[in-house]
Amino acid sequence: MSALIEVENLTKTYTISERREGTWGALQGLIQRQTRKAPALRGVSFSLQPGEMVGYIGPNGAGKSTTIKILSGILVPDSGTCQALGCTPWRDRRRYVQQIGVVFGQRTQLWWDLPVRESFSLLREIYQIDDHAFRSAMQELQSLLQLEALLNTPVRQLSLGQRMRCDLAASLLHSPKLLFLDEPTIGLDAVSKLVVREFIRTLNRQRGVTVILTTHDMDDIEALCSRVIVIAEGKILLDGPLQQLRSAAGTERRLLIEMEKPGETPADEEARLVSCEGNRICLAFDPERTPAAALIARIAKKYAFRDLLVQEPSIEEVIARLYGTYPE
Amino acid sequence: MNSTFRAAKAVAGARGRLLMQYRSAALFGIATQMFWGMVRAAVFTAFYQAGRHTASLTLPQTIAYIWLVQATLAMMPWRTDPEIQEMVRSGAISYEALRPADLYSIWYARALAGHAIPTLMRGIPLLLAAFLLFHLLPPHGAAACALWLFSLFCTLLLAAAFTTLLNVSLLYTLAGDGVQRLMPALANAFSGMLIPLALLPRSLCLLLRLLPFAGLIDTPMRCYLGQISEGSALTALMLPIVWAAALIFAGRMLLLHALQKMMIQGG
Repeated sequence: MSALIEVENLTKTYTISERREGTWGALQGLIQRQTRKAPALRGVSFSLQPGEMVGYIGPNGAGKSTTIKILSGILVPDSGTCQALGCTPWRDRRRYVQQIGVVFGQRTQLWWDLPVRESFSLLREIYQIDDHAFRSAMQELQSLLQLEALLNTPVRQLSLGQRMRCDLAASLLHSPKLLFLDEPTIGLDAVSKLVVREFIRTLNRQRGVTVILTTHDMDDIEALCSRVIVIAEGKILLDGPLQQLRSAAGTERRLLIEMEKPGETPADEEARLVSCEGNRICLAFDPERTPAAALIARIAKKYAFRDLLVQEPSIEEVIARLYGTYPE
Repeated sequence: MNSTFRAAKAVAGARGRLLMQYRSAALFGIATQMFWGMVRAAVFTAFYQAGRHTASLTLPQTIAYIWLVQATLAMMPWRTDPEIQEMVRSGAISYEALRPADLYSIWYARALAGHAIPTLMRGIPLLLAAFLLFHLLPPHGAAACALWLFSLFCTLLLAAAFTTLLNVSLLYTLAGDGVQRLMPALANAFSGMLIPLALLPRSLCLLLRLLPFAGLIDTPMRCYLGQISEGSALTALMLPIVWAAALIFAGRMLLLHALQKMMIQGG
């Protein structure tokens, strides 16, 4: 199958104007501006197959949003190529954006003073969606995102979670094949997050929409993405299945134990003590050197405990470790 | 082109319906404009009674001029569109760039609605009141009336071109405070809004009539008062249209350039 998106060696450097410190600096700035080059992308390449759902993750300022903006055609890179849906996004902008949907979680595309329904019918005109397609898209989105009660409300009166559901619907009215979600769950409460996640999953699994998702919420990634691309300082650190991300940062697992008696600390030569709070103990071990079952058996022989749990490291930890090992 | 037209029409319609919601704004707008109209009429009456007679405009003509200015104040391209300003500030402008439509046309359509709807909502009641209460001089014959209405349409095209250019300038300046101060000063003085251009020294008057601002107030006024004969109407009305075309061209070029090098910061 041919790739849906093919990105080759994208670079982008921002020029940031700076003011020198103090009054004298401000005066100097009147004569000569000082600028600084801030590289945002330093050669990013990857490709995506139709129907994939990819998590694009990295710390703040890593280049995630820059990549999304270039891929959606609103930012022109300094160099590199990108082919998506047979277009170069920033060159064939109008033909290209007709086929994609974009949600920037921190911004809204809905008209602030208008009821949601009016924003939708405006988008319908802008995207030239025909009657039948519009009605069926609306019907599907309404039921999946529970929009009925919101449609006649002016956008300014919506809560953040409600607004995000409407924003998601707005970006999908024209049935795009490719969807960019830039932090779609930012600031949402737990229930709204679940609704949004469930919706994204349905889109991908049932409608076959290809999704690129950036997020700082690792639960999003674990719930949705089979493949992750990790970016830091404008370069791709890792591109592969979620499992590969875990093993790249080491295979260590955690054993959480609730002891019978507080103060007792089990020791084992194959395990490292991570934390100890009252009768809750956390041990780290390497399952390749000692299987969990063997470790538990050894501890059970020597100590009395109420409960235990084996945990995989959270993705946050994995990524923090990965960033830590990234050479400067 | 047809698709852009449809999209622009929809945007203008939505914008217009939104502006029609602001009934109390229109009501207070009318009241304020009535008040200032009376003050300005009183000032000019005092001038004329002090013996400063001028051949170019009689007192009733000047007073008619004042009421027409008050009625079409919403045509003046004084400021940028607050919504576009907010989009530029917040970065929601990225969504505007994501639409499969010609952005300039969409913004121009917004500006058309932004000038036309408030002008209709405030202008018609204000003119009616001026006729009934202040004996507003009617148009100088049917031909003058037709010419005046057509000229107002040209003013609308010109005003929207000005406003859209101001909006595009936001992509360069971000804040737009400078243009917001400069533009009213230029427009008020050079369009004939403060003092009818006809009352200025002859050479200055002729010079200002060549600038784009004259099309905002001076040209429709001269049509209303019958100072433009049918023979010279073509040249007089061509000028605002040519200026509108030039401003549209400049706005388009600037917008194209801005979108090429636009940076949207943050998250």
